[in-house]
Amino acid sequence: MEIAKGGQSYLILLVLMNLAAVGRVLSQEDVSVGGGAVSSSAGWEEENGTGAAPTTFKVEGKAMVPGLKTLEWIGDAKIIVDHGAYLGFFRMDGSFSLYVPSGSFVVEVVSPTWAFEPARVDVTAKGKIRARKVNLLQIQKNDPLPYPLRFKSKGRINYFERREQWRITDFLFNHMVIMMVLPLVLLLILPKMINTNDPEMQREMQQSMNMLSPNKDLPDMSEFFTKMFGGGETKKTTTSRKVKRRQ
Amino acid sequence: MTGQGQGFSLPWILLAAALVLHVPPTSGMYEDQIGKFDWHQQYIGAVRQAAFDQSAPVSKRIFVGTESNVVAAINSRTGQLAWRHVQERGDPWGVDVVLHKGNVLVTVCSGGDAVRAWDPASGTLLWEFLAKEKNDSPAKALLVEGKQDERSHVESVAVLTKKTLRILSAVDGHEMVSTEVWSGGETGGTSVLHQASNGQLYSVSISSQAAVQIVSYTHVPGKGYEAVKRVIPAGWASPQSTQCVVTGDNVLVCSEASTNSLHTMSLVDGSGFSAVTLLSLGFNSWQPDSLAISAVQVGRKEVLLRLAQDHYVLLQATADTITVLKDLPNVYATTTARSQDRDIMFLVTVYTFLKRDGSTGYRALLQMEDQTLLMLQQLQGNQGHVMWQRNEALASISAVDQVDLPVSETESKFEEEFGEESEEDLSIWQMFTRRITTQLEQLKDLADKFEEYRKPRAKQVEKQLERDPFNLRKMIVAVTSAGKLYGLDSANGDIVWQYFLPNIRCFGQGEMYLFVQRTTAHFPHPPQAMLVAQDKATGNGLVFTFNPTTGQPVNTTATSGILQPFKVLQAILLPVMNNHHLHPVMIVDSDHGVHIFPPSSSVLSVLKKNNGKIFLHAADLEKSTLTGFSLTTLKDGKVELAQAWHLSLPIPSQKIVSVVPRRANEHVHSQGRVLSDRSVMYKYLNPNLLAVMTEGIERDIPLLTLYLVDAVTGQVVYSMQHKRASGPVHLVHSENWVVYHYWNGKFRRHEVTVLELFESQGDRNSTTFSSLSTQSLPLVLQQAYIFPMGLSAMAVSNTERGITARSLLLALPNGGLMTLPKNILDPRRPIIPTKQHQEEGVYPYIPELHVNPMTLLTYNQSIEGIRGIHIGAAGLESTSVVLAYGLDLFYTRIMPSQMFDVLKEDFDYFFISSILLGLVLATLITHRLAAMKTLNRSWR
Repeated sequence: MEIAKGGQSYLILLVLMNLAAVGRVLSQEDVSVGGGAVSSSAGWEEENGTGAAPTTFKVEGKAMVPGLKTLEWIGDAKIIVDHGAYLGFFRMDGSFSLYVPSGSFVVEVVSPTWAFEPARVDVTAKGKIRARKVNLLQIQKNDPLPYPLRFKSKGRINYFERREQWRITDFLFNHMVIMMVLPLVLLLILPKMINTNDPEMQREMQQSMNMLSPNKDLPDMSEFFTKMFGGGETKKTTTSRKVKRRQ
Repeated sequence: MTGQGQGFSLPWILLAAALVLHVPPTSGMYEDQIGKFDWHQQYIGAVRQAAFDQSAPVSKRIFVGTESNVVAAINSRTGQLAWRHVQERGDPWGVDVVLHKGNVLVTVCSGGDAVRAWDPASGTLLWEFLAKEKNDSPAKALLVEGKQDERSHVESVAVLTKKTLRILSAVDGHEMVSTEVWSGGETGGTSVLHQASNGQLYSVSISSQAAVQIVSYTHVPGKGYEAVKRVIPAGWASPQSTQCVVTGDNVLVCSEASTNSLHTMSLVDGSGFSAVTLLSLGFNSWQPDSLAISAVQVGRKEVLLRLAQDHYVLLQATADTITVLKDLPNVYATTTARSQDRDIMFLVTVYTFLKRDGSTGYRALLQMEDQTLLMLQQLQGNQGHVMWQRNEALASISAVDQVDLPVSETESKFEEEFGEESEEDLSIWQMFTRRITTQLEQLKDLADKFEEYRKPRAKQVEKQLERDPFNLRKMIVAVTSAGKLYGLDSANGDIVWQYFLPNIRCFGQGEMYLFVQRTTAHFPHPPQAMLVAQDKATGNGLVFTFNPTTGQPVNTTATSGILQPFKVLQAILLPVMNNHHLHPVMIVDSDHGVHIFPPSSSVLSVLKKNNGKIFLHAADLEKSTLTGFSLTTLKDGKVELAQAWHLSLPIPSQKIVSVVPRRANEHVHSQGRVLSDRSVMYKYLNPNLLAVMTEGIERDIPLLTLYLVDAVTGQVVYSMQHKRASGPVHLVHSENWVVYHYWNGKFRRHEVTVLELFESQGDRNSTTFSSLSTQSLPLVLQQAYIFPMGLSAMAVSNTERGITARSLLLALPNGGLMTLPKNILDPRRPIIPTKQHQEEGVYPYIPELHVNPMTLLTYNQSIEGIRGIHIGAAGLESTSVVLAYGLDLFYTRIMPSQMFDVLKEDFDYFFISSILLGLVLATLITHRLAAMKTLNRSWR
């Protein structure tokens, strides 16, 4: 055996046996007491019965997840009071009961899959119970909830972040892409769209170009410099070339 | 942004600022990352009671009740848990009784205060009965059967606690009868419940006034139960040492350890006991303290008497005689099973199983002393085989550490060459040849790797665990309170090695000391760890040194540890190293004597060098005093403690609940915080600072007080009080801040307070810190937040260089493990935010903290009963590895500042490379097109 590594003797504490396919019937041949439901006797309780200590009170409630059968979700769910001071387990029908002393408690349904809103339960010394919403900021605020407690799931708990998937739309509507693509489109496609052979259009363009081009009356900076440093003849050639190209 | 900050850690401040400003503080995981780097192991604890499933014709399950108060169903073929319910903790023994018959499964726990009936198939609660007696011993319980239509069925559940007998309906759990066992101030113990064959219920209790009290309960239809009490004088009986059992034909047999005798009587009508001494039965050796008696099987006439731990006797008892049927030496445990025609008795010995009938198949569930749960199945012949085993000792880890794995063979050779200063001086030629040979070997290794890649080796050779490039894989060394040591592979939680020390136990507070004296970083020397525990028999200290990566003891002659001749008060790993890179461990005994392990001369010389520089502190939790000591080496080589300071905390009614130092050798990368006006607030980084939390009640008001004490001088640096606040307090202390979680009784909510300490203005020596030369008290900023839940443990993340932002790990009561970035708990969060705060990246103050499910590392798994969180630093600066342990084990990685030093796993290599390729192609094509165009133009 693997565990014999320690080399020491292993004391075996607990042994259980099971016989395969053998029914276990107790050999009590003569059970004489008759059947029937056992009824509780009131006299007993008065004489000797102490029951649960009188300081604890029973808090009851029920929880549900909309659209789900109870057995489908209670397997790993439980009730905790004051974050683990007391525990409660769900019964088959989703109901639960807790035994708490008097005081104020936060009762919450803990389920790894379903989210529930916690409730604050106030139990007076006489055993009067009321329920209200948990408000940690204003402790005295009374937002009453029905008692017996009713917990209804708010929905599935989302533990995971959505992984970003690469979509072509994300790429296209990225502002960097738009900034790069839009001027490109204007530059390439717009001139193609405008019919340059139309004389009307040509005239219009000419006009707009004239508008755009610097005012002829104002001295152009480059011309000013050429005038200053170069000869006077160059001016004419440059302007004539410009005009030529435009046509 | 912070612009041209003057801090030397500017890039990181910029990075942090960028993160804060642009990334919302969630570090959620993605759904496809489930199980990628986390694992979860569910345990139930040491089994106390077990029953094989009878509700279905083919038995598949075992119902168990454990010492951790867990009720669970185990699949008997695989050993996996079918369902599990963790009940409220409280008493040390766990589940009292598990009763199972037919479709009824009833568990009794908390000394009879909680009786619950479960549906065997689904584990759903059917009914429960809760009381508040607070008994200090386990209850006895019995399923009472009645007969209906000639078939017996479970009618009710009888529970006998120390004070009360209750009979609860098996249908809905309502209390049918509740009667006090003792009338008028009488006390006693050792009770037995028995249902006689005529259906009558008997309870037998031994009174402390030398009498045996027998109460019979008869069910009267329509009236309930009727009780008849008989008191039989028995001068020999005492509640402490007497054990009783009732046989199938209603004979009460009691064993009495003080007189070493057996007493028998008829339960139904007997009026006096007849005694038989053990000597007269022919036995001459027994251990009185292990004397115990038990019934062989319900309804059988034989009883088993345990004479010693490994000696049983099978007896047959009648009302006035006892006969020995069989002497069973060398037997540790026995049980019986019922077959169709006869009872078979199985004796479990250390080595073999003896049985009388080989033809019937059987399975046996064994709980070993090391809390391993074994399922044995009989094979042909006399051999059995282990179907599965569960290492339930891992549910009670008392000390844990994460050790780096050893480097691979190639790297170790490299280490051999450069790592260690070699003792002999090598000539240049020798060094050259050594270099060449190493490189050749490296080349060979590379060739081997290629070969392995080309055709994977057919034989699966289990390679020795090696460190991965980022040092993410560790060896988890866990010491359990059962005395079992485990080495777990952190990649998947598999057990790599295990070692059993049968004679150790925890110290009073449930702790053992585990120290890693030498890590794997010092290659030619093997790593070494030391466990300091208590010896079971004597209570003295026990020291066990072992290799944490293999589990082998260092000292092969002392395989179960070395027993010390003193009681351990405290054990500490000293912050010095000898020339073999071994940290010595110092053990302080109960007389304040000092013992150094290993006591070699090299260690002592190192201590002599550091004479008076090593300080220790001891806290007396009851008297709420703190005492500081300095370690001094005397001339004759002896080491002793000299008291340096003594501090009695001002409120004597308060008890110290925790003393938290900063983590030893904690790296803090950034020395200060840059404010928006470009000035720097320097952190008060006192490595000797202790956070001491005391709790108590002063004038009927619960009070929490926190002291920050310098451990070298005993100076109280800061203290603060929370009125009407109480524990449990969880406190973490790191860098220049302290965060603690407590219950605010005034507002009935949990709160988290953060204290951050900064240097007060003025000159300071930034390179070295000395507690003895600082006088100025730090500037303390504090803020409190409302936390919506209680906690079961709290820890802080830790990385290799301390560059990564810190994150708190909180174990929530619903079984979740939550991360909370430290920058959310920032005492500088303003109530009215200004532009400066925004620039600095401080959020506005919001009093309530929320639990965002995306910050739960455990996603939809519930980690039950977390008691501690151990955090190790990975080789990657961004990553810490986290082990949460308690009843369950959970392991994962955290990246508090996201993965800034490696590419994310969802990094789109395809996208990036396709864009690059596309760009290159586009460049080539456009270049070609442009060339063609210019050519065309030239021809025009």
